[in-house]
Amino acid sequence: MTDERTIDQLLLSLKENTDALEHIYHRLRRELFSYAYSILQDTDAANDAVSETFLRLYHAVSRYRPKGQGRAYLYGICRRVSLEMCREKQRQQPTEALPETPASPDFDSRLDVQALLKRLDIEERQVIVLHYFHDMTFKEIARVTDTPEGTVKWRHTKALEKCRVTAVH
Amino acid sequence: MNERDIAALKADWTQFCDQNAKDDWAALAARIAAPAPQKTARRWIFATSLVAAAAAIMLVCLPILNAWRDVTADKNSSGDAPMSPDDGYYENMDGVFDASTTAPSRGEDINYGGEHGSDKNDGNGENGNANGGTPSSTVATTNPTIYYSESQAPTAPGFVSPNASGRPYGSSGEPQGGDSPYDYFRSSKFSGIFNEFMEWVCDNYGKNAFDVYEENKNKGEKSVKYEWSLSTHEYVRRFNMPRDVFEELNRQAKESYKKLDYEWELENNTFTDEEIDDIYNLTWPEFARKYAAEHAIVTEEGHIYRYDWLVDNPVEKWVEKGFTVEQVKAAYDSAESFGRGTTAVKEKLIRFTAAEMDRTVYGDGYNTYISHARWNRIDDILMDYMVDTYGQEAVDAFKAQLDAEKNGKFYASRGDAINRWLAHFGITRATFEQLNEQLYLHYATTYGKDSFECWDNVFTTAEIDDIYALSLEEFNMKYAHPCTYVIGEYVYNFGWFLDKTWEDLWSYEVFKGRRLVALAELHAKYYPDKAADYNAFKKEADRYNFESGGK
Repeated sequence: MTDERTIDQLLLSLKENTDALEHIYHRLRRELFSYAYSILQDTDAANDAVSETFLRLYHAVSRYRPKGQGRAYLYGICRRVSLEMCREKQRQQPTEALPETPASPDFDSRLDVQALLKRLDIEERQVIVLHYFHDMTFKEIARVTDTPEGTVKWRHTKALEKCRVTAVH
Repeated sequence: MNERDIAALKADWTQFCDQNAKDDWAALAARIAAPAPQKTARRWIFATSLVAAAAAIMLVCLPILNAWRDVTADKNSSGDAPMSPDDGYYENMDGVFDASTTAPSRGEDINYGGEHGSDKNDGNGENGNANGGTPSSTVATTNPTIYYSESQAPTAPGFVSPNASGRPYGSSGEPQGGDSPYDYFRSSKFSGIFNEFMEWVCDNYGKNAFDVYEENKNKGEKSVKYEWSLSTHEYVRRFNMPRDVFEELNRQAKESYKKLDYEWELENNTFTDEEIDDIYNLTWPEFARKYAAEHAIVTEEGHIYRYDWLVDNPVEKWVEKGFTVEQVKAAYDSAESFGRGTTAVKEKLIRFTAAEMDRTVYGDGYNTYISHARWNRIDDILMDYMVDTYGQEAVDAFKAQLDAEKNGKFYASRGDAINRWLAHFGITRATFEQLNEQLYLHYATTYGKDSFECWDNVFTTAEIDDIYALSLEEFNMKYAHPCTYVIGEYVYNFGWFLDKTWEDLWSYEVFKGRRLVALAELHAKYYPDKAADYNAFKKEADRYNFESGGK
């Protein structure tokens, strides 16, 4: 897990020195890809979302106030970008399901992750990915998704129920 | 899924992300380095957008304004006295009272302007609904499929249930109300459009329509109260409000708040697009689950049991309603996250959890909330403590005294004499609680805080209250009955009876007559899966009663 304070410092230094953006990018791009993918379920779109997130960060960082929540701040941008892209995609393809990522032959077990996540809706996927794959607490997830902690817990419970059903079948 | 599964999934997920997350820094750097649009160009874009927006607004608003002018002209011609705001009749769509305008008399209902302007009433009461007629045909048929199916459409004013089960909310008496400060919507979303909504209802259904509806809805029901925001789902169906009208009212509310710079109200007193979608597209159970389930238990039918209900009702009621431990726990966790979790509910939840465990093992009839394991564990820890503190000899002596009191005849379960031990050795409540806490910490460390042992094998405050406040007989009756047979201070497990011959049993004066029969009936009731055994026991007991002439 990336240290919050370090991210905060990098964001602060980004105000003065744009080179810091590259550091942040290389440090967090995988995490953010993972999060964006949990929303978009499309690798190309998730990569686009990560780029767009950093572009927006670059333009908005002057307004950032350090509160030790730099990571949540970035995730928040990524979430908004991804949801916007998701909505845009749904507008363009209202009746089509989101494209499935082709399975790599050398990565069979990924199908299980994908199968589990496909059972969940966007909100639930975010909770599961952030909690189990990004090791975030419910409080942190609540901050990132701008949702009450109770809601996050509820979604977590519901998501686990669905995962159990999937695992059984 | 266990931890190993999760670890495997996480590894897969990480590998997947590593493989697919592209390092696009070069492209990103190029985008960042690209010159931003010139200010003049941006100004031009802004100006063009502004003009386009103004033109669009004019196009949308002109027909509405024209129709509205027609409506007000018609209303003013009636010459009736203006209604006061206190009458609940609001004259203008913008929510501002205007003493110069006049209200229609009964039956002179006027439809909302815009699309429905052509449907304005001519005063003959044809479309008026103040007297309980059907809604204006224009309003009722304005694209009704957008928001609900024909089968759900209300046919007449008065209470019509929009829920799937077809019965009014709360008509079965399930409490669904009680104000809590944290509920979804915070009760205020609907207030942003309340005035305008009421005006629209008055225009289309008559000025008392809403009151009549509310009155009918609440007739004969116990403490049924919804937050307005949740009720919005019902209101739009009951009064058949077209979605475009609803959206317009919401838009007006947003505009007003923006003008006033009321940020909180803008966020909390108006509906988002998603919420409007849900109001019009979801069934009531779906809507209730989505918006209330985070803080309350929502049943399949859409009945809402809030945390307050859990506070006010005993565990037996929870069982009766068929709640699951997960549902109650989620409601408790939610309340706790808002600082509203109460010890009483937590303790009830512990008992509920134990009861559910027991039910899994023993079937539905098993309704004691004390697990035998609990007594065994504290027995061990108490014994260790008493031996360490008072010596083995003293402990053995008291044990012998208890056995002597039992006169060597009766078996009593281990937990039954707990308060005798405590009283004899003068173990204070504080010490007992400390021992209990040690036990809890032991389980929490060994098995985790959410483990079954932590929930089930330690005493709750209420139980400790009872241990110190009740007599042994009262205590036994409360906790051991009906799953054991309680006679005074003694508790008999059924196994004890099964180990005895009928002659032995008959030698105990206390069991003669109908008592063994009653015992068998009791067990047959609470252990349905073993009813055959108990019925055999009962038959045998009857035979002995008959032979001995006992009744």
